[in-house]
Amino acid sequence: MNQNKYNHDKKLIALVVLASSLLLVGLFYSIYVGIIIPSSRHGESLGLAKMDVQQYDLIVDDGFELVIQNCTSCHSAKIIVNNRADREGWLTTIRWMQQTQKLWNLGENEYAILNYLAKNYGPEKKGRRAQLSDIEWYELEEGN
Amino acid sequence: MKTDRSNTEKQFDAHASRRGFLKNASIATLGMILGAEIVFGNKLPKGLLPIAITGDQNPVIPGKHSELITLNDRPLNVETPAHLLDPDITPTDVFFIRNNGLPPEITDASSWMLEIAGESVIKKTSLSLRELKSKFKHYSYQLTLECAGNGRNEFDPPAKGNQWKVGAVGCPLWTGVRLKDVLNHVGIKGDAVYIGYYGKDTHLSGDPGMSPISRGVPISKAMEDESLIAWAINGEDLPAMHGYPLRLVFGGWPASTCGKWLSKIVVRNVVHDGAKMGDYSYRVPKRPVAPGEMVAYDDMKIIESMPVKSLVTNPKTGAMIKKGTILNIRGKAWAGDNSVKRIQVSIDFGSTWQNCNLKDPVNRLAWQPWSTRIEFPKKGYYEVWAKATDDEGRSQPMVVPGWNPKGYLNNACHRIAVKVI
Repeated sequence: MNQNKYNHDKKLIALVVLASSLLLVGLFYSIYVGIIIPSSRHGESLGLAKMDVQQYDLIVDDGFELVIQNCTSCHSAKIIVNNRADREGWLTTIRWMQQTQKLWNLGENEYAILNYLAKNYGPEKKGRRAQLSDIEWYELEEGN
Repeated sequence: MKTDRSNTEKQFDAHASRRGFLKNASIATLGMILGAEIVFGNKLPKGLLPIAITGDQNPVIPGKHSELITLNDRPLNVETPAHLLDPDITPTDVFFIRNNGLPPEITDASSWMLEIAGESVIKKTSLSLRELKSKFKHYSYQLTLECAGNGRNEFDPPAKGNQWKVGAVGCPLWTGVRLKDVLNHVGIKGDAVYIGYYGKDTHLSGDPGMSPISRGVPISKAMEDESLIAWAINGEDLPAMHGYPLRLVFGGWPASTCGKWLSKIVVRNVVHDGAKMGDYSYRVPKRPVAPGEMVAYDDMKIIESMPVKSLVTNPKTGAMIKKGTILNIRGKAWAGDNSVKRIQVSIDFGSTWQNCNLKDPVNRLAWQPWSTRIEFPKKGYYEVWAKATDDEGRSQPMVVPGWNPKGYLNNACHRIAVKVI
């Protein structure tokens, strides 16, 4: 009987310890997520919990880490995200940065970086004039 | 609508408090939070948190309106939504930012020196900021500054660079001394053809030997009355982002000619060859080319006066009005070194145009406010298009103008959407 109660107490203590540690982990995790990685769900699959924070709006795909390592120590990821070019166009940009902006030789990584850029940030056909888009409609009162 | 607004406010508050907490942290602490060193963290403008930490698409920039659109946060490239350009004199907090490098941190400008040098000055001279302000007459002009790449996002095939939409333009009031008064004081030789500038900003690579940008203008533009060495915008010292304590201002020309954090002017006997004067930068083909065509360097020319252009600044795009409402339409028009002689709007996709009231510029090279009133004939979806014509008869095209490799000079008609309900 005593032995049983002892075992029961041990189980209870273990459960409490487990529950509180889970709570603590959860608490820290939510602080971590809430404060510093509000929009970086992308990178978790690649195990990039911290690194991808910096590049939260880059598409996660093969070559993502190489782009972070080689491109974003000099400029923001925004300039990549906002641009579009085919493989040749991105290569021209890389060569221009090497000639004028002190970008280093990318060596064998260049192939993978170009794959990433051309696939994820390739040109879109816009034609001579695009439709007006992203209009946020609002009511305008008389006497505007 | 109300719910949306309060949600947005709540989100904003949450972001603001997170920012408040983080703003007090040092660069090293921020680095620890990120789990990585913030490269060039010491070059981050004070009060501006890296986007990496705020996680915001649009970081709040000290002294700037929260609705500005950040295209790039290192270096800062920030544009103005058209409706914020409605005041005739562009307020400093909405004026666009185009930095090429990282701004210097200057707390005390009392020892700031401006050097005038180059092969075509008679005597190399240095002037302190105080001498500049005391020796020469002060002038104030409203001058239109527009990035040569404003509108780049519409080119197809796309051109690399900041994908400006419509808002890399503004017309604040600048105060300073005439560049020509300073050049005449120093004395320039008869063979002078160009001036170039150097500023105290640093190259993104951190290499102190490299200049992020060093452009200039032909001597004829430098000697115009409105070409200023300025220390004030809208009556106050230039903010850090806009060149504190000293910059050049050339109205109507690519804003890249208006060197910020100005420390040296060179008077050249050749076309200035500083950073971003060559290398296709701020150059367009000498002849029309097909979209995507490879253009040889020798077939490119430096952009000088900007083309005729206009914006609809009121209402903000997306207005829904009741049938029978008369809509007040307002905007601004400008034409580089020229003036605008006519502004028209169309609400039927360019089939018919009506003339608007157009004001004269307050001074040469200032933009011109325009306005009209429109009653829409029936319910439905409309676009208001604005088209300006300059004093040489050149109008804005309704489609994107001639393609060029770097995506400059898109002066296609501005369009806003209106629904009549």
